[in-house]
Amino acid sequence: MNLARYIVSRLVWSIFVVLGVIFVVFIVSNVVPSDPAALWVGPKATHSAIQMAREKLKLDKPLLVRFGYFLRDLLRFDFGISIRTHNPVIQDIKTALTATFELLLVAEFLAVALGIPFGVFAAVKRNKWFDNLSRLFAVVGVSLPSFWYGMILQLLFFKWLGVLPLSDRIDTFVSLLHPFHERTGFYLIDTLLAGNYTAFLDVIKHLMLPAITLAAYPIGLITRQVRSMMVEVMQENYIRTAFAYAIPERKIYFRYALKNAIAPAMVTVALSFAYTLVGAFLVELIFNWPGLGRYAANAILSMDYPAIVGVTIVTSVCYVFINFLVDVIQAKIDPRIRF
Amino acid sequence: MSLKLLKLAFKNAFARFSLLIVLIFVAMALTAPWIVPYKEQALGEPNMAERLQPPSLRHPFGTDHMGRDILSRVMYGSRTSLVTAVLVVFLSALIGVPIGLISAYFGGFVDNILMRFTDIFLSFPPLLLALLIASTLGKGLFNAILALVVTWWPWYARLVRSQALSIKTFAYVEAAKAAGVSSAKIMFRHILPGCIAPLAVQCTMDMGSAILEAAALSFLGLGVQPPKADWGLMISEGKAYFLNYWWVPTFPGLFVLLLVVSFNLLGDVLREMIDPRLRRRMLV
Amino acid sequence: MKELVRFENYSLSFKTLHGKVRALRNVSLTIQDGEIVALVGETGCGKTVTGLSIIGLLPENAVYSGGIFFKGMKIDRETVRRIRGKEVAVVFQDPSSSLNPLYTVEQQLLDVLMSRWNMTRSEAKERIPELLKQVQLFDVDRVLRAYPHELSGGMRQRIMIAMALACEPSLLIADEPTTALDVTVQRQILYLLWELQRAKKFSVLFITHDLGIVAQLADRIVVMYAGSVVEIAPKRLLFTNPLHPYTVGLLNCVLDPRRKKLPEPIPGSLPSLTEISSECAFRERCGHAFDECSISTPNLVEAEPNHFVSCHLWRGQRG
Repeated sequence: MNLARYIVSRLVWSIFVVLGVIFVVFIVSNVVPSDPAALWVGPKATHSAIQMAREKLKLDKPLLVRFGYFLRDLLRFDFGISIRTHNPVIQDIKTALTATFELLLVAEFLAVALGIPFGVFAAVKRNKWFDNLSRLFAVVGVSLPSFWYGMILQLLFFKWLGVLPLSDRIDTFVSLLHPFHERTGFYLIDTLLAGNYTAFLDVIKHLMLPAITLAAYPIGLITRQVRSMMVEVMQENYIRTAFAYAIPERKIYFRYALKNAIAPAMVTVALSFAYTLVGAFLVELIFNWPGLGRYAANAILSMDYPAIVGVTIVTSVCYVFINFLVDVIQAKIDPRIRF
Repeated sequence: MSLKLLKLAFKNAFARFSLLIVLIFVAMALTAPWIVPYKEQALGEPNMAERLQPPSLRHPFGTDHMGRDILSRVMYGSRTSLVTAVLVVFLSALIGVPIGLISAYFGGFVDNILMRFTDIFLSFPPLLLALLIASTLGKGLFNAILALVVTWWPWYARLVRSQALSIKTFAYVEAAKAAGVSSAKIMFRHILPGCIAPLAVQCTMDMGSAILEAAALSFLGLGVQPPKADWGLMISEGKAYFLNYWWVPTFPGLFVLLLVVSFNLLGDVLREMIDPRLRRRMLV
Repeated sequence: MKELVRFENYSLSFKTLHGKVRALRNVSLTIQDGEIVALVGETGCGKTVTGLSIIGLLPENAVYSGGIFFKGMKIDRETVRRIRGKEVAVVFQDPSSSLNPLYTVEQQLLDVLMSRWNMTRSEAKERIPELLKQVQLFDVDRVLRAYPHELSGGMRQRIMIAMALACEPSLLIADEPTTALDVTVQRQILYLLWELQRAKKFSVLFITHDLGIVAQLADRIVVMYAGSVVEIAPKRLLFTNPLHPYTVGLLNCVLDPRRKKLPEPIPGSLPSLTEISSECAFRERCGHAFDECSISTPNLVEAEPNHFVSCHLWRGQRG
């Protein structure tokens, strides 16, 4: 009934889920392997290193106790040492996080800004050419292997047209000649704050290809979902009432119908964010983007187990949190959910 | 399902196109060992003399960094992709469907526990848990399939459960219960058939997703291992060369796209067919 | 009295998967200024579609022929804009699904006022309390802040009526406005409509299947069956001298404590609207059918002053 109480109950639920997620990761990483210690220190480890790891993992203790230690380490942000970089995993993750978030946010913004209007127009012009074209693009969007798509874009825009850069967040020359202070880690913001427009433009150029690549999947999802929800909503009686009272059509589509359609679509947006989170792994690898995804992809490629586990936990917790936010937003929009 | 509806559904050009593509791919996968132009190369044997050659008459898709004919390898790749997808979808459904049925049928405590359990699994971003599991178990196709199945079955459990819950309320289920029919029989004979339609739609679309996820796993080195031919693997191998030799990763990826799009379109068509509300609006 | 609405040989069909559904066939009727016309018939007879046709609220697959005239102006896609939500307002059957669940009552009333009168938001806000009072909703603040699902069915319907009043229409189309409500609330709403009509003198097209309601409210009654008009008469005439066998049958279905007989249902069932035949649609269920009835559909003729019927039994009369 009450928005506040709903939020609290959702929060409690999310915490429970996070615990469950961590437990599953624990089981997979510490219980499933025949020799977890070897996994944690990597293939090049010395015998003594493996012994030390065994002690640290407390393999002789019962399951729940081990889980307790695991949890304790997590809460102290001890994710272990990366086999590849030899840094504490948490440190690696921290430095990589903002880069990924910047990319994610830009991609997700693109997806929502394009996907929603496309979906609405496709629904309004049902079965006309715009609708069929949008649906085709949407299907292609969700069917693209992102790692391949990124490469194709690079071929197109870098190799053949030469208008956009190949990789990285910023051109090395630009960052040397027009340096700026990294305050937030979000280059878009930092360059603006420093008034450094050359760097700002360069950052945007570097963001374009990876963001477009990453946005393909969510645009497809969102367009489809918004379209189908809008089509359903347009059949509802209250839309008929709005037409009967000659409410201006644009208002009917973008305020009345969309609001009703958007609530379930929010779930899709959250889901698309999840795919984008993981899609970032592959895209960052292609574009050499110094983010969490590249870190994770490199970890997988080199079997850097502590890093893999660390990234899994961080990403999953982020995902749970995002879902929580979406639930809250949904409840704010649709008062019936709060019951 | 009326024949008329089926015919109308496939009047749509998209539907016909996608069905055709899927059938072609299946045929290709089945007959590959016999119709492929360079069989040994497809299986991995190098041919360094002809390395990195652009598309030509001899090699319509060009050759890769080991001189192997890409067309042949791409055709062989369809075998791995299709088999993987079928296995993943089938096994996940095999596990998930009974669990969903049981959960819906018995309700109460059993339902609660099972649903909490699936909720946890469903709270992982897709593919992430599979990556973790595949990394833990080690490289190889078998482990990749296993990892995917473990992360996929909860979806089916959920889907079947929600369908079953509404079917459970129908009178004929109550009647069967009253007549003393065993639970297993009720679940499988009476409730399950009602779930088949949405399940079929989901499975069709999931074929596409399975191919994508499997390709992602092999791209990251976790699935099929070299020198076998696999689309994801080929794209990964091509990454080092693509700027100067564009054809190496392009064709495998194109095939992935084509097949996945077809499965998705097919799933869309099926979905529109079974949804009575949408059906009502299928006008002449 | 001036004529407000005229249907001239209006026919309506829907193109569907199963063929062409003929929803209305050669409907001709008029609605005068300031009168309450009841459109009566069973479910599926086409009465709702008739009402919606006036404002053109028809699905994409609708095909029509013939004409509808509003104040002498022919209604088509252009002209309908001039009357929708302005001269003609609709009160729909199910107020719970006809109001947007995600917007407050206030917001929805404001939207109607603003689009009808081109007002600003604050101007519209001032008009609202008066509107609510007219429909007997006195707890203005609470109602305005509420979402539709927080109000009772009767209150929701009052809101819909308020919306209609906000347009100050010449014609109010009420499509089974009380069907979805509790019996006790029905009377209140009916009474409300009656009083409002008396005060503001707009015409009402009251669509219903309930003859009881009709008996109280209507000035004139139009009886429909299977997409055609079968009888039109002033209320008194219809009840004392029903001419069409279907009307007679309908009246016999009503439980009347004054008659010593039990109600008798009309045998048979509705014909399919997809099968086109030239015979009278009621023939199979009619106790008085003869040869002519299987050959052609009867036209609407004036059997006695102001009393129209479409039945071969009265073919020879003035028409």
